[in-house]
Amino acid sequence: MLIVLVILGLTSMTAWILQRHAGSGIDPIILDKFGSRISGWWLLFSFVAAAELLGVGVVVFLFGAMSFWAMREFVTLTPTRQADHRPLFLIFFFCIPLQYVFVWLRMYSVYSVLIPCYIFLLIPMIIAAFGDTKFYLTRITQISVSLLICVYSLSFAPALLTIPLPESNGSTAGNAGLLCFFLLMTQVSEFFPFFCNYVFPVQHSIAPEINTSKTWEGFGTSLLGTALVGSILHWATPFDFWAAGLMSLAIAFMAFGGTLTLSAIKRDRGVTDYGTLVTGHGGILDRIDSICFAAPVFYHLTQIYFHFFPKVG
Amino acid sequence: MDELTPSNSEEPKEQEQEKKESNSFRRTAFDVAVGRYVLAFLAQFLSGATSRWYASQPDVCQRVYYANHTSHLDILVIWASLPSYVRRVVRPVAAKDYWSAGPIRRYIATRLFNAILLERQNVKAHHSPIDVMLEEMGDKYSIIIFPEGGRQSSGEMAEFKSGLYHLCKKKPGLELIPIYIDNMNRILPRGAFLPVPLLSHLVFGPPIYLEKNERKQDFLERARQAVLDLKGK
Repeated sequence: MLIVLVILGLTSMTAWILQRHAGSGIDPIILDKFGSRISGWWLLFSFVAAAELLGVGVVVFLFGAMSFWAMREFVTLTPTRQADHRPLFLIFFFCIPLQYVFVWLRMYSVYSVLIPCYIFLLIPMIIAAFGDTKFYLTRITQISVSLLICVYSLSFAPALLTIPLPESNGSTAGNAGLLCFFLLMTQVSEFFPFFCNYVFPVQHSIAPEINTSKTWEGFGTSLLGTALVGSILHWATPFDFWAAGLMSLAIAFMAFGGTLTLSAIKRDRGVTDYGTLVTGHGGILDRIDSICFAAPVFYHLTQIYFHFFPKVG
Repeated sequence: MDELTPSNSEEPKEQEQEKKESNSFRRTAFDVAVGRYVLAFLAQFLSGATSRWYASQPDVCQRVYYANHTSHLDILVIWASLPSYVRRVVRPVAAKDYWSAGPIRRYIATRLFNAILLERQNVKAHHSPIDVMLEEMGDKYSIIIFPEGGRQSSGEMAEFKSGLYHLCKKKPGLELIPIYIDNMNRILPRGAFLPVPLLSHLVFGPPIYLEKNERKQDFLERARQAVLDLKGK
């Protein structure tokens, strides 16, 4: 915890100094992006601190609030019709709270199937009952995907606090450390492509029509760099050296995929940022896209790891 | 509600009157202040509304705020988006039959909003709604009105009714502030009872005035266009 605090302090300081000396030749836009990333890191760090100090309930609530806000941004962006009004009301005021209540109650068997099994089948039923079939398939898909990304996937991040850790495990950090490691790796994976801009002058876009800043070089650097940082930090996790590296690799892969996917959705809807959708809002979906995609994968990989190596460390 | 206190008090009692007034002001101010705060917070939470003043500034001078109308939340959200010092001199105009039905609605309309309630049925010719509005406005209060006359279910803007024109005609030089409300019809559309908390956006535009000798139809079209121009700003 203390180390993370020191790293954060140092990066904030660097960014602050760089911003003060604006003429240092570094692109101010990149600097600005970097600055907003750091404020995001502080936010995430305060989450973990809250987990440590105030308990699991507070963190689950905070992630629930983030889900709620991300869902608002997502649904505002997608066209819905009058018949979707009541299902959407149920989603916002019942489905999101329920999902997080079950995470809080540690009822894995419920929260892992609540949305994919019950809600995904209920929504088409309710919408069909209203009899409006215009763009029916598109509408139910939009609502389902928004729930999958903003609520279901994201809820696995606070669920990391509820994984039972093997007792004879050498790690001292516990579940809060697991969440901290996960959040840190998602942020580290986003940091490497920035770094990459200085190493490779010529880069190749993966999908230029979606996002020109997502390049093969950036992707590669992000995978390798995150794996390296993760394996170096393995002592703070319940994993050994190689496992921590591979976990970080998986996180970086999913985080990259998340950003790319949400970019594609943004292009489809013709906006550049979820933040600019409505002036003045921070655009939480821009911040958490990588977390959303990486959380369920990291959660299940961790469970698989504990299944096969229950007494490592 | 303070302007309703009788002003014909005798000279010698002036001091006492003043004391009484300030006392009653403080007492009303508490429940009204808390109520207004809660209401503004609820409106902001449910509508996720952000507002922007485009080529325009908030001011306490007498104005007519007019906007497109798609939802019951419109009036609340415009009111909540105004800075609190402006809110104090703004009186929304609302339908009497809806807002005086039941004690809660009446409390919100008369105490919190300080609304001007207009009869929709049996309108008297000699005391038209326009006259009532002007009377209640005095030269202090601004008003919020929806010139389309009712909520539109399609999200498209209807033609303006002539009230806006007659208001300006009877009070020359009145400043009109167009407001465009975006996405509110998805949050609480016409016919829906429960709000879906999406995000919405308000744009306050630059003031317009009724020009001398401007024809009614031209003016109404220009005022309507002023709102439409704010779309996406």
